[in-house]
This record gives sequence, C-alpha cells and structure tokens, in this order.
Amino acid sequence: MTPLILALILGSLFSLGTFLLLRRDLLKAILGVIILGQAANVYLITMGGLSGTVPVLSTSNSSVSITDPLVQALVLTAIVISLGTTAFVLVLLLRVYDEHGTLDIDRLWGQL
Amino acid sequence: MSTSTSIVSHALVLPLLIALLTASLTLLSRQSLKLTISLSLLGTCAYVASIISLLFSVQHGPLVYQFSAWPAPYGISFVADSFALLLLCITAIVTAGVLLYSITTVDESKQKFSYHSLLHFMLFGVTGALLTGDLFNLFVWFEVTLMTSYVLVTFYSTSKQTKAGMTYVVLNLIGGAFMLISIGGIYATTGTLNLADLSYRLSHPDLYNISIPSVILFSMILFVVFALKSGLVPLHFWVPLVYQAAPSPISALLSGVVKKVGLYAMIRIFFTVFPSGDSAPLGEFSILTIFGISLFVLSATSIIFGGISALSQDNIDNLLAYSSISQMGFIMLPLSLAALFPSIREMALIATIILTLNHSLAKASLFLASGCIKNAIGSANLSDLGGLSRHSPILSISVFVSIFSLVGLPPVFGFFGKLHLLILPLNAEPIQTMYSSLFVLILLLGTVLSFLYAIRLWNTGFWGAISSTVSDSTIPVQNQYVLLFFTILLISLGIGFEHISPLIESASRSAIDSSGYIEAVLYHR
Repeated sequence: MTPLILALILGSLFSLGTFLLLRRDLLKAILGVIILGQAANVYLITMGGLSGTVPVLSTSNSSVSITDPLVQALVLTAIVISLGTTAFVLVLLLRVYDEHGTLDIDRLWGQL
Repeated sequence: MSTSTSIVSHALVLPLLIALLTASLTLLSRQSLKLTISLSLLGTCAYVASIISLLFSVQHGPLVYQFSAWPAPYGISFVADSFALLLLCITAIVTAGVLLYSITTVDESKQKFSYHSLLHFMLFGVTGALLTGDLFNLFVWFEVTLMTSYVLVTFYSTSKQTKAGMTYVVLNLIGGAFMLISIGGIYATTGTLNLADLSYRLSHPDLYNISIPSVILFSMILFVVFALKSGLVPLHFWVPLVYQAAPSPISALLSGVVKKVGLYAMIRIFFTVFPSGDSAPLGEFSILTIFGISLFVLSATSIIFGGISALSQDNIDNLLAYSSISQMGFIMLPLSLAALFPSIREMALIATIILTLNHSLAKASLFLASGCIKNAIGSANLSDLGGLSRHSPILSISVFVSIFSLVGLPPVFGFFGKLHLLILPLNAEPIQTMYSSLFVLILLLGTVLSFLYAIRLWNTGFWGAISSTVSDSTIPVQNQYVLLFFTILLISLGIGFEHISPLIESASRSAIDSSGYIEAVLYHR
C-alpha cells in the first residue's frame, strides 16, 4: 500500500512542480522549481526500499531486514543544500522585482 | 602500504584544505583590504604549488584518500589521477590569472565585501568535484561550485545581472533535481554510489542483479545534466545571457573552469566508470553507443550553431559566449568517436584534453581582454571599437594569440588540438567511413566558421582607423600584463609541446583506465 501512495504523491508533486514552473509569474515558477527539488528528495527516500525496520545494529535477530539508511543521509544533505539555494533564489527574486518592477516573465524576458 | 605512500595520500586533501582555509581567512580579514589581498594571493600560490607537486606524484598511478579511513565502498573516497590533476592544474592557473586581474579592476569596496572568499570557495568546490570518487559527493561539490557562481554572476546585482542570474539559478536548480533523480536511480539499480565500486559491479551485472537498461536510462539523464552544465546545444541558451551579464573576470572563470567541471564529470562517468559494463543489452545498443551517438549529434550541432551565431554578434562578450558553445562542441566531438570506437579512445581523449586546456587559457584571456576594453572604453560593441592594435599593442597581441589559438593555427597551443582531431580518423582504420567523413566535414566547417569570426573580431575591433571612443581612453598597463601571462603560456605550450605531451598522454590514459581506477580505490587500503 505504501509504495502506491508514495508513487501517487511523487507523481502529483512532479506534476505540480512542472505546472507551476510553466506559469507566467516568476514567483510561481520558482515555487515550482522548489517543489521539483523536494519531489526529487522524496523520490530519493523511496529508492532505499520502504519495507523493513529502523537500521539499528543488534546482535540478536539479525535476520530482520532493515531500511537502507544511506538514502536518508543523502536526503538530509540534499535538504540542507536546497535550503541554501531556496534562500538565495528568493532573495534574488526580490532583487529582480526591485530592479525591474515586475515579476511577469513575459515582460521580463520579452515575448519570444 | 608503506608510510611514505600514506603521507602522500594525505597530501591529496591539501589543495582542498588550502582553498577552504584561504576562503575562510579572507572572509575574516575583511577589515583590511591589503591583508585580504595578500592572504588571497598567498593562498593561490600555495594552491598552485600543491596541485603541481601532486600532478607529478600521480604520474605512476592514482592516489586515493579514504575519509576517516573508512574502506572504499563504505566511506567517501577521494581519487587523484593525472587526468583530474591536469584539469586542476589549469584551473589553478586560470584562477591565479583572474585573481591578479581582479585585484586591480574590481571595486575596492566589493573586494572587501566577499569577492576573494567567493573566488576561493569556488576553487574549493571545483577541487572537490574533480577529486571525489563518489557519485553523490559529486552532486554536493557541483552545488558548492554553483552556489558561489550564482553569487558571483549576480555580484553587482544590476538589472541585467539579476535577470541573467535568475535564468542561471533556475536552470541549475532543475538540473540539480534531475541529477538527484538519476543518482537515486543508479543507487537503486546498482546498490552503490562509489564510482570504482559502481564500475566493478557494472562489469558483473548478473552477480549483483543489475538491470542494464535502467542504468542506461539513468545515465542518459546524467548526460543531459552534464550537457546543461557544459552548455551544449540545445541546452546552451543560458550561456550568452550569463556570460554577457556577469563581471568579466567571472565570465573568464565560468568558461575556463566551471564549464570544464561538467566536461570532467562526463568523461569520468562515461569513460572511467561505464566502459567496464559495456555489454550490449538492447540489441546493438550499449551505454556507450547511445552516449556516443547522442554526443556526436549534440556536439556537431553546437559547433555549427555556435559558429554561425558568433559570426553575427556585435557585442564582444556575446561573440565569445557563442564561440564558447562552438568550442565546447569541438571538445566533445572526439569524445563521441571515443565512445563509439574503443580502438581510438586514447587518441581521442588526448585531442579532448589539449582542446580543453587550450580553450580554458584562451577564453579566459579573451574575457579578461573584453573586461579591459569595457572598463576603459565603456562599451564592448564592435561597432564602437576600431584601431585597438595601435592604441594598446599588448592587449592586441594577447587577443590575437588567443583567438588564433582557438582557431588552431601554429605555433600556438591550439594547433596541436586541431592536429590531433584531424589525424584521429586517419589513424583509426576500423572507423566506419560515414562517421569519419561526417567528422572531418563538421570539423572543417567549424574551423572555417571560427576563423571567420576570429577575423571579424580582429578586423573591426583592432585594425582600421582608431575610433573616437577608443582614442579618448587608456587601458591600465597592469591589466594588460595579466593578459600577457596567458599569451606567453599559450605560445610556450605550443612551442614546447613535446615537454608537456607526456603529461597529456598519461592524463588520457588514466581517464580511460577503468581497471586501474577500480584497483586503486577498492584494493589499496
């Protein structure tokens, strides 16, 4: 059951991110990028396998399968990185608004 | 292992520590600009020295450093082979030149702000990305490099820079998400992130229950990310935008150093890691044939598209940016042949490495020259320039040497790159005629295009009557001397080519030596 729910959540996160990325409002586009990044993190978590217990080393019942802890460490790193980039991109967004007075992508980059 | 070897492998983290220490110290010494600059220069000298000494100590085999002494597949390993160190060497040289140029041109208040520490953090990121032997760690170092480059691109936060910076950041964030997806996929299918272990497991797919088609899928996502970072057509559109908006020394660094990180990662992943598992699971297609064919198409398009676009540019920075797209195509084209035909792999890698070194030096020098022109004259449009060769001879000589090194005329360094490209199809008999004739055709067409834009840049900007905007300005001599440093390097590398060709050959051998890489990382504890 969990894999199905997670797959659905992942699918909707990726589609929401892509949808927002294609908006004309720069703020929405950036929110889309951030959601895409988080969706990638959730996806990475699922790559470690979902069945299994907490990864605690024990001498007894070593036959119990454990969830791969490595991907969780990876995702922690990725979350920290995305925190930094999110902060930067939001400040940059503010600077773009200060310089140009608009966040409309069509008006910023011109109609192609 | 003997103690002396382990001391040498500890020296492997030295460049990393030097860059990190310099970055932190320059951040702390913000009160005094003189102290900041001297620390920054000192740090760069130490960095260059450590890289060069490491370069000579890895000529007989790669050095490996296991962090916290965790053995290879479990911990994070750092691997230094002559390929990574040769690229780091050019990184160090370009960064040193850019730093010398920046000291005299960047505003003092800005230098005080955080310019030097950002430069060193970028160096830190590039060093990590080139030395790491772990796929996820590579992602982290990419992000470290990119984070500093975001700040440096938008350094003055003018209206142009904020806009270009936004494009750059958003594109790289999407690239980063895709890289995570592909890394997660590779981990799920192979069960490892260590590059050497990955290479070993791919050579025994049945033993580890690896489905090669999924590895192909994820490696192609990785390929797209690297193509985005190195600006190949059709993922090139950020290049002119960013290079024109960023401060000139930063454009020099981006084209000379940061773009090369994407190239390095591509070579490392596709030529060191994947060949060992290069069986053909999908009919005739294996990882490397799919990679080779895609790369051939992308790089051929880049050469032609970049060349034609560069011809029609009026702004020097735009011209250089489009030329950079075209040159990236020249650098990648031999790689595609190397992927398709294993017999010429080493020769193709030699051509790629020479062209990479040449492009880093020449493009950095050209961007710095464009910065000199912009600072003094206030415009980098060819229509405002003219007669620069009589007005400032030193600048003109260095521009002349750099553009003709890009085109590949003797006796400059770039000539040997083009020479190795052209003899590639001759030396490899088994190459199918379709590929070799297409290869030569694209090569000649691209070279003619680069010759044309080089001549156009030279004729309109540097020859002819001195325009009024040029005659009213003076270009500071100390800036021109930095350019002369690149010029002398390009000429002496060209004339003394036989002396550095052993370094290049050993670099290309180590780039394709999967078994040596595996052995060094997994078995030498």
